[in-house]
Amino acid sequence: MLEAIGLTKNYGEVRALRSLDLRVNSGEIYCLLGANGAGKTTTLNIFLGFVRATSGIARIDDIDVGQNPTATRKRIAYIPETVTLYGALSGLENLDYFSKLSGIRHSAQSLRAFLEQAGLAAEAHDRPLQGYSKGMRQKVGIAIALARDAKVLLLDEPTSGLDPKASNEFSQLILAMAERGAAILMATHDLFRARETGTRIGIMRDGSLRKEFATSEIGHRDLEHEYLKTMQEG
Amino acid sequence: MILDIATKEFRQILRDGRFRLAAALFIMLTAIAFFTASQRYQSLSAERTRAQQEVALQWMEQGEKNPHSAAHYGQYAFRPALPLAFFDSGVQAFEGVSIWLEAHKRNYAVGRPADDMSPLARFGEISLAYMLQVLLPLILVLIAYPSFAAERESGTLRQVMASGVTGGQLFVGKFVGLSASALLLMLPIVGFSLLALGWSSGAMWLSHAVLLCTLYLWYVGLMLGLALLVSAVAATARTALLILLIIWAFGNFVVPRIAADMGRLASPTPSADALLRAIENDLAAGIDGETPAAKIEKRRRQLHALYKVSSDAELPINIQGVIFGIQDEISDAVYDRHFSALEAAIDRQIDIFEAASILSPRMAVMLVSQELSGTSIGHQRQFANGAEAFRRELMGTLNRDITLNSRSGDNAYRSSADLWREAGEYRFVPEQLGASIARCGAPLTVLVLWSLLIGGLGWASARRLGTIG
Amino acid sequence: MRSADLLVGELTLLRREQIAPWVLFGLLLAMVFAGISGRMIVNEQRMVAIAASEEAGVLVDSLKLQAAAGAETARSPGAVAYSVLSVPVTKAATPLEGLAIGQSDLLPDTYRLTARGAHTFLGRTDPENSLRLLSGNFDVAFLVVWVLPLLAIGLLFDVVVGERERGVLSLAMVAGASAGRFVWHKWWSRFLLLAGVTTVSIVLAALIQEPALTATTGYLLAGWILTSLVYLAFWCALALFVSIGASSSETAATRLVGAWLVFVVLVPTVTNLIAGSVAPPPSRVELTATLREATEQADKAIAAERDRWFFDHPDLRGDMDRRAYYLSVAGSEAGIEKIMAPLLQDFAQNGRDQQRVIEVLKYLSPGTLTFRSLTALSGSDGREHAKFRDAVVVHHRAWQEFFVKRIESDTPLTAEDYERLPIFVAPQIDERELMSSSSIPLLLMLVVTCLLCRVGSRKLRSADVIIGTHSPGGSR
Repeated sequence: MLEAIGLTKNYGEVRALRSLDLRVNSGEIYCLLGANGAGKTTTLNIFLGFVRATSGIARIDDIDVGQNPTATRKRIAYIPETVTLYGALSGLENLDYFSKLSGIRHSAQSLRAFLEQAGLAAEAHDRPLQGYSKGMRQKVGIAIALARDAKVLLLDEPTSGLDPKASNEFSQLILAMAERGAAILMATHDLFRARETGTRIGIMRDGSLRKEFATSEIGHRDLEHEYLKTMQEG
Repeated sequence: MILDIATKEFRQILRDGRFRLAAALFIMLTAIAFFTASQRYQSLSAERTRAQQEVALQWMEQGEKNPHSAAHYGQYAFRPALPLAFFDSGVQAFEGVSIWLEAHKRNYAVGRPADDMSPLARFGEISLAYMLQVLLPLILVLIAYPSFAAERESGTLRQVMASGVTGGQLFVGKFVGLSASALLLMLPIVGFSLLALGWSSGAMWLSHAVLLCTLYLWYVGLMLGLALLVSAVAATARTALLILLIIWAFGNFVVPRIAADMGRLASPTPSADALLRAIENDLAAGIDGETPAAKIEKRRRQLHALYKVSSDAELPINIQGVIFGIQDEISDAVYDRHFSALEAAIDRQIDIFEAASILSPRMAVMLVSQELSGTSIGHQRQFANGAEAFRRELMGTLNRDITLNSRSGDNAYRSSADLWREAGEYRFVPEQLGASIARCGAPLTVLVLWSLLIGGLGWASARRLGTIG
Repeated sequence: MRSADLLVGELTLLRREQIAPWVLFGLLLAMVFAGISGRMIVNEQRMVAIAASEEAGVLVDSLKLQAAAGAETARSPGAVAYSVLSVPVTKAATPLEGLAIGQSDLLPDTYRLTARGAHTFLGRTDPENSLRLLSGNFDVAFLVVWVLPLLAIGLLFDVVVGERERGVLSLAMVAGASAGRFVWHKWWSRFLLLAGVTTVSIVLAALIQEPALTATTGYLLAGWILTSLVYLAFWCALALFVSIGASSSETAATRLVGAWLVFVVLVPTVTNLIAGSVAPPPSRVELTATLREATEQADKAIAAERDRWFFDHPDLRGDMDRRAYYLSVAGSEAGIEKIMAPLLQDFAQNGRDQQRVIEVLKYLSPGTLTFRSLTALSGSDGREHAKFRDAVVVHHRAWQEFFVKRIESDTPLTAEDYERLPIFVAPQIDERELMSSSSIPLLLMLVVTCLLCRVGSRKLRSADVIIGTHSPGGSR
């Protein structure tokens, strides 16, 4: 479970986050929408422990992130916008390495199963990553998340640069993980994917959460309308 | 965890085409350096051993002669090629290889090999030590600079840190993995060297070799630590590479030259001409405020009084032997004064060089490596001082023979092979390891300081790896 | 866009980046410092030579007066030749020798001549700090040969690839500039900056040497500047060529540093190794042993002479005739020299052989080429010293002959004889010969530079260069 209570972050004069309150329960997919500079990545960085909040609390499974960044990282899986990993290693080797970094050792068979579950074709498992497409790398990133069996998943613009088919495959995987009980926080520009995948949607602007919807309560067109209205508001 | 990180790093390096190419070139150069150095060492060693034996034979077979003629004939001391000189030739090319041990005169070593080398000898020599001091760190720079910086740029570092690994674990893991690849490159050098050493000289120099291995492992660790540190703090991989290349180039090529020139300007050494003139003047003036003639006359009167005689011819000893002894006493004192002053001037230059090594750990390693290989200025001095000590003993023996076994005015007195045998022949005795290490205080301190600095900064930067702002 | 605007734009960019101005200022300071250091080193050597020459002059004047007054020692050619008189002979100063110390800290520029064999003074060297000799000198030649290429690499390694990575190259083309024009203006602005600072620095460093303002100095300075600029142009052209073909700016930097390592460090070192292998120097150790044997034989011959003389003159035993004594010394020296001269010749010949090998192999590396040219222009490359040494040997023969003739004819020295003592004329540097011998290597370097620029220009038309064909980026 993910929780932010009054989370604030200032970079000098710039207020990147203003008293953000957010909660993502197990099995939920929370999509954070907003323009560049709205505070989405800052929010993720605070939950990842890369950035210390100026004030407020960020918690993962009731553990304060600010006090125990290493402990909380062990509970999360993270997929960045561009999954680059190690080009000289194969998909399988990258997965093995990142699993070990998390303290988990899987057999080669299990690792291959994760890669297949993530949608990566078997013939690609042993090829060096530098020859993979963006979608294929994304799948390795997902496999890493699957292998960790983390209960919290943080995603930063995960469908950026993916074609519609790859985006759709990605959405299916995320949904499957949520069904298994993961709490998922996804920062994205993709309104369509947010509506298709998310349980709830939050629209951020200038560091604060302006609007929040359950996706069951809002259609694609209305979501777009609300989004644009929020961006135009003063 | 650390082992997992290290294994991944090592595997990644081995797959890197640049590393494979650099390693191939490095090993090829090592083979060339090893081959040429060992050829040269064997040839030099044989030549000098032969020469020393030849002059010893000449000394023994010089036939019947007045001992003072034999004193002027003298002996020669040749500096042998020590076993580890093939690994690190140090300053040997710029030091004389032979000293003439003659009466009344202390000579300095002549026959510098560098005088007969081409002008390009000033570009340096590709010895095994040079490979480890200069070329291996460059390879380390090339494999280590992207370790953190490139991963930070590509976003991979975030993903690694998000896995729950600490900055310290990551830093140490990368250090261990990269060290393993450095060891792969060092093994041919270390392996060749120890093999050759064991084959040529036996156990005596093995302790030196072990310390050399330790020194270079330490140095490689330092350079690797520095490269990882810069990679961790630099904003981009390109910046990390540029900074490291600048440090490498300046530390290896610029700082030593500036330090050497500063030393020369701050503490110049006299020319051979000026030194000779100064010695001649002091010889004429004598020591303790007494001219040589006055000293001799005083001693003559003492002997006359002791033996209750009134002329040299009545003495039961040959006063000429005593006079030679007095002349040697004066010349020894004068030469000691001037040679000490010369050594002091050079020592001041070396002090400046050692101080400058705070800017370049390579300079500190170079100094220690020369000491352990037996090719430092300290070793040259040990050779020269040992030869001088033998010369004084030799002259003392010959003078005593004249004094006790002949009478004053007896110019026909001759000695034979028995005296030459008694006087003995020059034999080089290598310095004990402890004495060599005692000269390494300053450079070792520099290396310790660098280790603390890199260790401290490395730890601080590792802690910061998991944060952005 | 006009060329002038492009150039001004580039210079503004360089100024804003801040690193370039500091680096160039650093180069200027370093050159001036190196010039001062070189000047002080050369001055020190010159002071010693002048002091020795003055002292010898005073001694000769004193002997002249004594000879005129009838003093026995001053009138005895043997005593003066073998015991009293030694004169320094000094290599001619070259105007810019402080810019490139070269071999001049290793090879003596003064010999102290006596009538004894040449082997007694030719092998003498000054006591030196061998660590300093090992480290080399921080002179202007070092800065040009070693450091200038690194600065050129630093300013130019990403002149194409960096702009491609930043997306600037394609934008510039869309804006209407051709890739070639755009890149060449960047290249020229950096090259001109470096060339300007290099020229000013060399001139300043040369002025610090306080050379005589003669045509010779002008020639040598022009040679220095030309050589340095051609060398700089080579490295700038190489940087451009590599930057065009590299997949990333890091790759370009790595390749260029590799090229620097090969051309400036490794090839010259290997060339030295080859020169030493093809023309191995004779053994100094064997020379020592031969000299010892020759001296021993000569001493025995003198002793035999004396014994024979005393056998013929038993009444004069204990007080050998001065003439006979010095004749035997002259004979002894001649005997030793007869044995030693060919061996010393072998060393001189070996030196020439090594120089010949290097003259051939220097074309493998612009670093070697440039170093050779610069040290030649400063008279410190060993060839001027070889000429000096040969002149000393010739003068020494004349010196010996002057005294031996008088010993043999038992002619005492007069005051006039002291005025007729052979005078050493040091060979002067032939700047025109140097310039003409440097012209082919410089021309060759210029041709290679132009070739690199031409091939680079052609490649600039390729789309790969503008937008790159790199695969998805990844960590290593």
